[in-house]
Amino acid sequence: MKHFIKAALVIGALTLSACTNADRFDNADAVDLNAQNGLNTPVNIDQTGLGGANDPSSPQFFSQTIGDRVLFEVDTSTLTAAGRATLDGQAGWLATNSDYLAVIEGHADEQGTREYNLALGARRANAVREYLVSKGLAASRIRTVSYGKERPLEVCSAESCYAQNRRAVTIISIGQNS
Amino acid sequence: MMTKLMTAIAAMMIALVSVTAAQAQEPLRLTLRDGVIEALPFAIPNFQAEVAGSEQMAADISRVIAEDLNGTGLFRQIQSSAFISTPAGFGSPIEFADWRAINAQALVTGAVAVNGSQVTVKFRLYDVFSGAEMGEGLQFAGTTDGWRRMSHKVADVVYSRITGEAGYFDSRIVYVAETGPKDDRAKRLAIMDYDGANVQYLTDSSAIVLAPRFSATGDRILYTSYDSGFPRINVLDVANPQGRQQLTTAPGDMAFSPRFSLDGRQVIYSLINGGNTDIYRTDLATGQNTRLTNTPAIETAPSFNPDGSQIVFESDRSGTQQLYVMSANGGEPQRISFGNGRYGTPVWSPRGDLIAFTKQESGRFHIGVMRTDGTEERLLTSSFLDEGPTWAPNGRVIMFGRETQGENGTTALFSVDITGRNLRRVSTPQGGSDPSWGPLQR
Amino acid sequence: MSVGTYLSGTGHAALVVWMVVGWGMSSEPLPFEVTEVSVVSGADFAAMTQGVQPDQPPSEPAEIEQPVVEDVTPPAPEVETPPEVAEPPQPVEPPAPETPPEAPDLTVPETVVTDVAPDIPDTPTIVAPPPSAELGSSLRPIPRPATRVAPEIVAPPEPDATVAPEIAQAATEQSDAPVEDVTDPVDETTAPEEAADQIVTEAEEPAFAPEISSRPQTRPQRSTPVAETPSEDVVDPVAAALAEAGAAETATPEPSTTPTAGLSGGQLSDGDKSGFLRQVGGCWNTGTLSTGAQNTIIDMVFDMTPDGRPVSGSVRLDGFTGGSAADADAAFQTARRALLRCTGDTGYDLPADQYEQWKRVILTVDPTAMRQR
Repeated sequence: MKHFIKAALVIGALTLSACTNADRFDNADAVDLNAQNGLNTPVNIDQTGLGGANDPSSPQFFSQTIGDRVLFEVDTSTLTAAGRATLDGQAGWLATNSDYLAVIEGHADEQGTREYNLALGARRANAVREYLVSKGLAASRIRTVSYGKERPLEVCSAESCYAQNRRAVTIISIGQNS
Repeated sequence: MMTKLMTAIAAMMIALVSVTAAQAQEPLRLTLRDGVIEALPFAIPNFQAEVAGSEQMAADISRVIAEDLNGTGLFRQIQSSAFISTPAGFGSPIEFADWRAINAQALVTGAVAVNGSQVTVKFRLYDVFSGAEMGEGLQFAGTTDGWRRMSHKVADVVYSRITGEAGYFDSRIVYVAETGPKDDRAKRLAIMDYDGANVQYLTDSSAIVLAPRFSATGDRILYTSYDSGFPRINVLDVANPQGRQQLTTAPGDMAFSPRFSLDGRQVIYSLINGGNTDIYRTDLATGQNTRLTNTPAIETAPSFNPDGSQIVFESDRSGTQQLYVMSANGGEPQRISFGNGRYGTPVWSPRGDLIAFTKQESGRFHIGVMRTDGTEERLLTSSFLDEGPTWAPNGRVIMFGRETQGENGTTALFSVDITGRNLRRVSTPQGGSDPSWGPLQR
Repeated sequence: MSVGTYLSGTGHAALVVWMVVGWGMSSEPLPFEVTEVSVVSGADFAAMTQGVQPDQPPSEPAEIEQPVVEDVTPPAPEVETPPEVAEPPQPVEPPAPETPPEAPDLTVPETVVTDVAPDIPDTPTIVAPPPSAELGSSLRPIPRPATRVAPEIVAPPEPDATVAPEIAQAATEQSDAPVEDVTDPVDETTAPEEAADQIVTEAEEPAFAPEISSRPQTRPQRSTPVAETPSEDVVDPVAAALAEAGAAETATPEPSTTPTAGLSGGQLSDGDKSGFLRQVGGCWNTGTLSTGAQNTIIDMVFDMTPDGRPVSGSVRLDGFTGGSAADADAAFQTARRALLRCTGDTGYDLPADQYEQWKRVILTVDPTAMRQR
């Protein structure tokens, strides 16, 4: 419950400030938003209640309607068909909203050693970056970071969770030098 | 004096007699191969308080020495309630028969004197069944707040005299202290005594920190931090942890998995560029960077051998994670792991004879050791998730991190003897991972 | 009262106490006597006898004059004179000036750290791991993970078997002791400790574990393949004797000849030899050997008394291969301890009428196989 309220507040704050206050948006850690989503499962978040998500130029629209993440098979960094479709949407949105920069976070599930998973997460993030660049986005707008297995979204030790954790997430922010 | 002379004469006579006897008949020649492996029972009567007011300190020091020895699994303390007699004083003659009767094979006696903030610890070690002292008595002096270290030093000497190899008790561990739920772990660097005492934190939890590594002298620590938003290598001075610096690596997106060379002048690490992870070396004095591997595969977790001439690392160039050894200057590596499953995080032992590693097979994780050519692989542990071995300074014990399964999974540090015996959890205030065992302190 | 009188008095008092209390205590756990059926294996016997009985009359130490030298510098007590009369020219350490030797700088590193650790319980710093049921699912019988490895498997004691006095005491008086003290306090003085014939690590499924790249173990190089010497269980006694003699020949510097069979009462039987080895082996604890010493093969020479006791002053190291001098010394100390400790109260079980055969023994002690247990 506590988490839910917190999540609601964060989302609310984002919605209000997203288009007006770039600094504020930066500070309101987008990673945190994802984490909250993970804790409460999307069921708790009524998408229709969040006006921002319906605004095609909002970050909420990006993360929720287009989809900010793509998933991977075990120990691979090959984009799936579904992943490519999501990325096509992301590429389109980023092309339209050209003042946004993107950081691609690569993640791995817990079935692996820490170092290897860090490297694997980097491969996944890079696969996404290369795909977006191949769709015409400027390479300079996209950075990658790998969290390896340090930031799981789902916490169970089963394939259902692992599948959600093997992911690359595109985090968008207003560029400082755009 | 007289007694000793007589003893010597008697001994010589007996020796003469035996030589004569031996000439008459060939000695019997036998080969002993089958023995036992068990904890050696030892007795450590509470150290004597030589100065009034030293009683508590004497008891504490005796207890820590006993815990050190017990904790190895090689020794087993005989409880004082079984003692037949205790030495009247530190210098009193030892009634060996009393100790033989309770099967004590080693006996440690000692005395403690506290004077203000100074404490003096004296001890002697006896081989009960030979009825002789092992080595000479020793005395340590220091300040009272260093009493644990003095206890560890006594235990190190006892360990070393009985086993013939250096101890590891007076050493420290740096590790990642973990708190919070699995999807929001707070991680910070912590340093503690080898036995989990005296935990101190070196960083706060504002950024993820990973895999700290001691320098050979134990005064500096390399680790990976996300404080810049990206994984980068930081170095900190143990004496002044606030003054940490980011290591200037070769240009790249992310850097991690660092280790010092033995002389502390070079750092080897993994660098990620364009999604590809390779191993690099940076000379700290000159800033010169050398790329040591160059493949599209993941090359990481490099570790020097003790003389710094070779590096063992993991690579998935064959399709799965395997272990390879290459020259410290790079060049064609030789694969050393050929078993089923995946091998990662190799660490060269300080003795140079073994490599410890993490192995994944059939959904289980293991800590194992193999010779440096990959032979004589031996798995020491098995669990849902064991990883990141580090060697005790004497190369006899391995510490590693273990994580339990499920949404409430927790992390903890464990240690195990290289024979696979004596698996123990190391007590830490919270969860722990990525231990790095420092050298014996001076 | 002179020092001698005092010591003698103490010694005799100790003797009395020992006979009344000590003797009684160690023999009180009767199960041994009870389980002592007609067939007792050598190892059982060794385990039974070890440590029960000191091999010296306990009054002896008291009769030794203690040179009480009061050093001026740190009150350094003099070196204990071992109770053995026949102490060899073993380095009787001169009561060396016991200056605080290499007193290390113990200035505790005054680490300035950011945070202060929460209260750390400073007692049990290491706790026993939770019991692991890793091997529990197998259908086939597998060696139990025992903390003790011995040549013969010893089943865990029956629930109602005697427990060493130490346990009861530990349980009552040391209730604050770390958990592991309570879990394995079985004392060999009473029951043979539970033992497996190999160490079963958490990771191993013994006997049918997938053996990975295990090549023949390396042994220290010797000029002759000692490793191939037939074990003492070999059927052909002549071959065994020859092989042993051959092995020993290269292992020791002194020239020797092949013993002629049949001299002075004939050869010692294989059973007698292996029985002796099993007795010594029961006390030969390689667990505390350094990794270096575990790769060191030593030759140990000693004399025996006619009643089967090693002359403790005669035991000496007579050559080694495979390790450093320090390794050899550690290996020797361990082997000597085993020999002296497992003498038992009746001496080693060797045929008295063949005393000439075993009056002097050169024992090659090879721990390399134990390394793999």
